[in-house]
Amino acid sequence: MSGGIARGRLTEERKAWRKNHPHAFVAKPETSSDGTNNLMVWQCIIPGKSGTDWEGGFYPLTLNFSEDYPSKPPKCKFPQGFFHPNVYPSGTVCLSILNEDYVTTLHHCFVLLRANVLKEKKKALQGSLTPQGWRPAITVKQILVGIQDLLDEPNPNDPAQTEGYQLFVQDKNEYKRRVKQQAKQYPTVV
Amino acid sequence: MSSASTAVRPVAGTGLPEKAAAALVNSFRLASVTQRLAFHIQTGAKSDVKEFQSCCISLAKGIDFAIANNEIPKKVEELPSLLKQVCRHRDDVYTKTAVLVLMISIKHACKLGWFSDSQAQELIALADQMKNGFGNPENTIPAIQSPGGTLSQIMERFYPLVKLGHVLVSLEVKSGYTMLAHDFHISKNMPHSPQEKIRLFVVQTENIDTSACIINPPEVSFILNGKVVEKRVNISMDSGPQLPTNVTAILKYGTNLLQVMGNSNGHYIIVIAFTGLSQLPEKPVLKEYVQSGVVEASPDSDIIEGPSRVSLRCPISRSRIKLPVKGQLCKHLQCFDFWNYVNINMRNPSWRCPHCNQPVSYPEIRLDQNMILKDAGRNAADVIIHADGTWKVAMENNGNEEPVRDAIIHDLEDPNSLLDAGPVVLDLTGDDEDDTDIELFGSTSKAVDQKPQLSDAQGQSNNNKTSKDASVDDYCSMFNFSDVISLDEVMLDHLNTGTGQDYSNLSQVPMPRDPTHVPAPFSQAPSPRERSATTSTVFPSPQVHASPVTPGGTYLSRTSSQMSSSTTSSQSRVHPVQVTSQSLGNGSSLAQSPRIPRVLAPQPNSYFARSLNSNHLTTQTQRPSSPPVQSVSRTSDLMDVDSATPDTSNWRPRMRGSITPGSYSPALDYMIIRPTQQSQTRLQVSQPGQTPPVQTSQALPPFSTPLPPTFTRPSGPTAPWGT
Repeated sequence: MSGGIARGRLTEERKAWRKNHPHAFVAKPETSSDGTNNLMVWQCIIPGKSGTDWEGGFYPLTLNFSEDYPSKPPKCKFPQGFFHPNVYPSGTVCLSILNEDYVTTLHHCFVLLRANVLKEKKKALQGSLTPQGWRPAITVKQILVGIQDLLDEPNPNDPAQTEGYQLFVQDKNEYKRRVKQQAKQYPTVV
Repeated sequence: MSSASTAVRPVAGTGLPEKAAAALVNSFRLASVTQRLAFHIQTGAKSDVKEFQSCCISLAKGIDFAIANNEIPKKVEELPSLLKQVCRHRDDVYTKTAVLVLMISIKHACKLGWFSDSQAQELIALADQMKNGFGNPENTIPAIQSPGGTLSQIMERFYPLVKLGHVLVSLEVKSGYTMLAHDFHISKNMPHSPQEKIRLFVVQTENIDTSACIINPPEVSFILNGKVVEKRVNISMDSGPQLPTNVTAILKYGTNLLQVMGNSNGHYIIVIAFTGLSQLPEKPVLKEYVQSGVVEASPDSDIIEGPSRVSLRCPISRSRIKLPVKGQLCKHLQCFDFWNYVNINMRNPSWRCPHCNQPVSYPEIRLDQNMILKDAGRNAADVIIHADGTWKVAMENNGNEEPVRDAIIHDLEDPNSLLDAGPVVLDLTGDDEDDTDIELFGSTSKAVDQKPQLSDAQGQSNNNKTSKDASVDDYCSMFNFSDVISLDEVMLDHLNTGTGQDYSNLSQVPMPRDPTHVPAPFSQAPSPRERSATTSTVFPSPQVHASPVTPGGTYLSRTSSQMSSSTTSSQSRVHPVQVTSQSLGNGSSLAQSPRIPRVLAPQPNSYFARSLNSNHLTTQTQRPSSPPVQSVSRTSDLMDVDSATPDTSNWRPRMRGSITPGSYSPALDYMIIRPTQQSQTRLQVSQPGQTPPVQTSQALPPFSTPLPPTFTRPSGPTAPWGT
């Protein structure tokens, strides 16, 4: 019944994105072999934030929308084996705002907070934040920016892969090295 | 087989109609199976267990068939004694299962009056006894009667379009481990329409306020006739609120078996019933939203003091809201669209506000009368709402209320543009910006979003506006005002300063990019277009104004703000004036005064228009009181020629005509006298202060001249919205 809504919304998202989108980000519907656009799958690129170990990397991300969108969030996937504590081995991103269970645990709220918030402040805010997962009002732009934030701000309370999580917790230097190495794997495509 | 039975076709050999044949075959089966069972019972333990089991199943099927077709087989009186003996065979679990299947069928036969009352009671008791061997019925409370208030409340809240028909099963399950098998039979006689489907409802009764109550118990699986119910079994569980599951495909006429197993986390009711779907009412009856008035204490409150930006787009579809609603408990100003909301919840019944995630069930949807969608043009994406309840339209994606842009400046520079230029007035009713392909207009739209350097943004906006305006407006009106403006010192200044460069590029009519060049056209003998421009300079002369002004008063508006900036170079000025004087002949004297009022637009309308312009594209101006102002200022619209204005095609010719001295209105005279500066100052004041400083700064020597009453109107940014 709401299939029309999913496509209609994606059309609007596309328009909005073309009008205005954050610098260096890319997001566009997949083009199938016959040249038509598949609105339900978007190929995106998320730039690593400057000033972080992720800088210089342009990370490909696929958004898979279902017919239930925007009632349900898109599935967001990096390439398989992507190195990050909150990315599953399959590449699927684990992020609070993408959580369709609406009873979201408090620790997810961490991820919602932007990098510029001090940690102490975060803790203070943590109690007051209403845990919220996915909402239909969340835009593609918000998702992508949220994931960009997540890159340099992993949430150790919600690990999705062993390797990234363990290095992040136990060996920060090696973790940084891996992150920088990965950034080189995804250079700018000019 | 039963379904095909209606067709009357001879069956090979029998010569009987198919239905009759099927019944006949069934009666043979019943008779032979009965015999066989009797044989097994006589032989006792020595009999073949497997064959015994298959006989039980076969008999059960025969009975089901008879039940479905409302037949009572012959020799039915022999069954009870046989069955009692069959029930003693409980050697192993498989046998027991087969016997249970048989007894379930028998139970329904009992209810349909196959046997005498006493026999029926005995058999039912026997069946129940058998069944108790499988489950733990103590935590299930079969409710024979139709489910009561709880279910209807839930239907109203979360399944508003689902109509409950005949109820087949109604059970309650308490929390704790559940292992239950419940049988029910479906007869062809049951009242239902062909459109109705049989659906399974599973609803937690402890808290039916939110959609959490229609989440399947996480550890409980539902199996019907041995087949899993999609999304309600542990291997494919849907963790969110669910619609009632359409299980029609896995049910059959006759006896059906529902199995429920797992650890229940609460008190649930389980209902299987015929259901239909109703249509949404075309005009839904909704209660009106009433602001609770209680300021939320919690720090995460969405409420903020001061102006709030509210999108007119539905957060679900991102397109314009058709019927603005929100939850009765929602504290935010943001609305969503009723139809979209119901639509997505018909598919995924989470019933939460798409904006704040607060639970909003169907009866909690409230119509928000305060969202004044009609008054904001179709194009408006956002509105800014102030604490006092006033509001105005904000351009899409602009964080600030209004971007700084001057449409006017551009026009002044380019004579051509002047001609083309129309009022800067924004008309929200125009085409939707969104519809335009962004790539085509890319720069423009981006400019809007980013609110970047003045030159770019302004230039673009101006160009667009001008072109649009030209098309829209009457030529005459344009002519007067625009021309006047063009002569203005301000214009020249801009050109000289180079601010105008960008504009020239943007303008549709090819203009010299280099600012220095710009002045040239003026000095030279005017081509028709140029002339018109020059004439406009002359504008002060009453004659010139007279005819043109009236019709299109709006036009003047456009440039006033831009014009205002600056010191004029005396020479440049002089030129235009002279030209105008020449061309016009009559009005020249007026033209000479350097700062003659572009603003002065003789008619109130023009002022109005100006003010609109000053606000720039961002603000939506309401339509000027005077009907003629129709032009759309929006950038997006620029390309479109407004068909509505009849004069568009004719405008050039008219210019010349308008120049004719003949029509002079006295009103214009005083205008001429007035210093232009005044008007400018006025404009500045009226403007929200968004006009770029450069332009405004020099512009204006103080004027004391009285402004026409009309003048005031347009000025305030609020004014346009206010109406």
